[in-house]
Amino acid sequence: MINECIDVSEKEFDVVIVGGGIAGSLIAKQLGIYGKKVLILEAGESKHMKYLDYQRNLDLYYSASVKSPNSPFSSNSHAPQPDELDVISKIPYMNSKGYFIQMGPTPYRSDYTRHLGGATLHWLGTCLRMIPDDFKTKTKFGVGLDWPLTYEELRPYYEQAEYEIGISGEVNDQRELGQLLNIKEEWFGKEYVFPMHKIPESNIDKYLSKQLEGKSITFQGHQYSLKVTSTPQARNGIPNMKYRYRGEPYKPVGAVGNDFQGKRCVGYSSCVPICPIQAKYSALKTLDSALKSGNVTIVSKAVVTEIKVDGFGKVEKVVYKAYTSNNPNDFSLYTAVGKIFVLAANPVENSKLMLKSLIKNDLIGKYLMDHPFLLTWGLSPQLLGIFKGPGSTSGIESLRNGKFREHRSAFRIEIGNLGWLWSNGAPYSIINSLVFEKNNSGKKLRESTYDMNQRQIQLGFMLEQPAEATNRITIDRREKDSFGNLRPIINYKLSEYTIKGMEAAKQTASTLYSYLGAKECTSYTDDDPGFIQYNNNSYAFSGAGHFMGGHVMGTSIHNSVVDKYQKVWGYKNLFAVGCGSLPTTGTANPTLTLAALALMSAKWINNSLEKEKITIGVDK
Amino acid sequence: MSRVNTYDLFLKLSETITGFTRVDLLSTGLDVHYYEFINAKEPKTLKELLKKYYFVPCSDFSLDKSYFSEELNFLIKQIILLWYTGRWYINSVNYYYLSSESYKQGLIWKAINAHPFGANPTGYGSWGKSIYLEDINDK
Repeated sequence: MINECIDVSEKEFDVVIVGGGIAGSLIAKQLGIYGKKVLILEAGESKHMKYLDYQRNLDLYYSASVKSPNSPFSSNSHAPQPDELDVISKIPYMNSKGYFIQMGPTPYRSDYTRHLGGATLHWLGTCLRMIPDDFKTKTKFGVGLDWPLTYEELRPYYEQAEYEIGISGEVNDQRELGQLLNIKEEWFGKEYVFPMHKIPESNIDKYLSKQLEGKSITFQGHQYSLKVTSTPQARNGIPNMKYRYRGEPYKPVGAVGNDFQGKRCVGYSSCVPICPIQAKYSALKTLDSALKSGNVTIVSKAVVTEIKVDGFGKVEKVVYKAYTSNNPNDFSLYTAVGKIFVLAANPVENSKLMLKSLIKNDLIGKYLMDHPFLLTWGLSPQLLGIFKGPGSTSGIESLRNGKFREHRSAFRIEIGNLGWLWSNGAPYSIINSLVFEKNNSGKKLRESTYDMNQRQIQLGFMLEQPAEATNRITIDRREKDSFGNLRPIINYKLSEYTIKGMEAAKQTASTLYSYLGAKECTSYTDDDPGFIQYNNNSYAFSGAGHFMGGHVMGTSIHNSVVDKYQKVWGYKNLFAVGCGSLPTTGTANPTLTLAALALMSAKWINNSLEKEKITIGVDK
Repeated sequence: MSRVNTYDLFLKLSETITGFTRVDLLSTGLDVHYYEFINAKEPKTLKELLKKYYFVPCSDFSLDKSYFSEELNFLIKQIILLWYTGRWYINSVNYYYLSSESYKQGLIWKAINAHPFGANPTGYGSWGKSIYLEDINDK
């Protein structure tokens, strides 16, 4: 049942979840199936659970001057969200006019969405598993933090996450990659296949694949292959008949509220920020299925403002602000009571809430990370058949692991299907320059527009960023916006380890463009907010939208905020889930890993509720 | 000039400056809307432009020529970009979309053999079926 801004203080739930994004919805669905009474408190709106209301977001996208990740998902003063367009400068103060107060020295360039469904509304849908070495970077490379769990422990949950999200991919391509990355562990089970066949590779994927066949690059005397690998992705394709989940074949899940739509990707190319037919997964699908258990209640327009703890480390309730209009005074304060509380509101919101509620742990808010993203671009000698299909369907993944990680960040390379869209605003930037600078018109203009756009190659380098305590989220009780919301304060810097990775990325880009016979056109200007100079070379990084850290997991209260089940150390019934728990970023887009962790937590939470039933005889 | 249908002249001018055919322009469904919009926005300059165009006998239209004043030259650029992008450029940097429909009907998508992102999808796998790369076989 979905309700807006109602009072639930009279009811008692088994589990109260703060935040209706992917982590919260996966946990709600599992617990709902197990028969537990679950409440989700969502700060944002829920109207897009209705198909036609979801479709209305499209109009915002079409008419937005800048089609940024949040362009279809409007800002809400009661539940403000950061916007990547807030970052306009290298000066921290200039970047602090939105929701975040940016202290720098480098800008944090990512954003998220505070609507039901969360950031999966506007994500690309890339679903790579982390590699086993990502779980032990401290031990293996002397960098960052180790996880309190191994890849092997998480692997069954990766499989479950791939079912819940609905992944299209070719497992043999991943196995081949596993060999290139020198993975000794069983990365994918012997009999395992993905629920759906891989999304077909794009023209540019095939072109690069052929041109780079047998090619390699050398770092510190070691040779690394430059192989192109298809990307497993959260996008509906053709079900793999060999796939079984608990004995059942896979059925693609269509759009919420219109099951006739979205059962297969048809190439709208607007995955970021919005898939018109929901062929790309969003948490709305999991929420829809969670509601079917009859055990899950969603209350939207309910911003949780405080966690109330008794004197014995037990959370009693959370306080939420239920608002009815876009007026700062138009709200009521209610409480929600449950046995277990799960914070699933994004790393920044989780940290903010714990800091405000004086949850005891010095590490809350620390180790904020992202995947700094270095865009590069070039012009191919031939036409490429681009500007179609999902944003990316393949990557060069073979540089995600190696001995070089002792000295610098690893990276993956995302091959873009949409030309220089992200790096330069193509195809518009091209025609703008042809008309205004080159005075082109008529047939010549049309021909040049075609030629200049259809030869564009964009390679995006997604860099690992190790956890550092000085990169952090804090609050200051005096720093509130006009609606009384505390503004997150962000301290952020890229370490030399990551910048060295950027240097290697740029060298790799030049090598790749030369193998492709392409003219490298990358240039970074110092008016770019992400501009960096290192060893006399220039770089400019963007954000990947991958908020990580803030409540990292570890082996004790001395090195972490949560344990491996994402239970907050020192509190009996409080969990903080999501990307905030990741101690390392690795080079995999993090959503799949957060989903696997959430599913592991759901099982643990259910087991502990069952144990409680046996010991104190509740619900008999 | 009074007996000339200025809307018709606007379309002819648009054909010349965009490199698209009349059918392409009409297929946007926005031809009248665009004409009325510009006519309301820049009535004098448009009239002057159309008058001048009426007496230009060439079909190969180049903006390099000093035939047009700076003001007319800028209006021509605005009209080209309106057809191509659905945006009205206030100057070479700032612009806005006339409507969500004008975004979708931008002729740039046709010019680059693509489709407006978020509309007119090309079909499952169409992104891997090239008209250019015949030598690369599907795996």
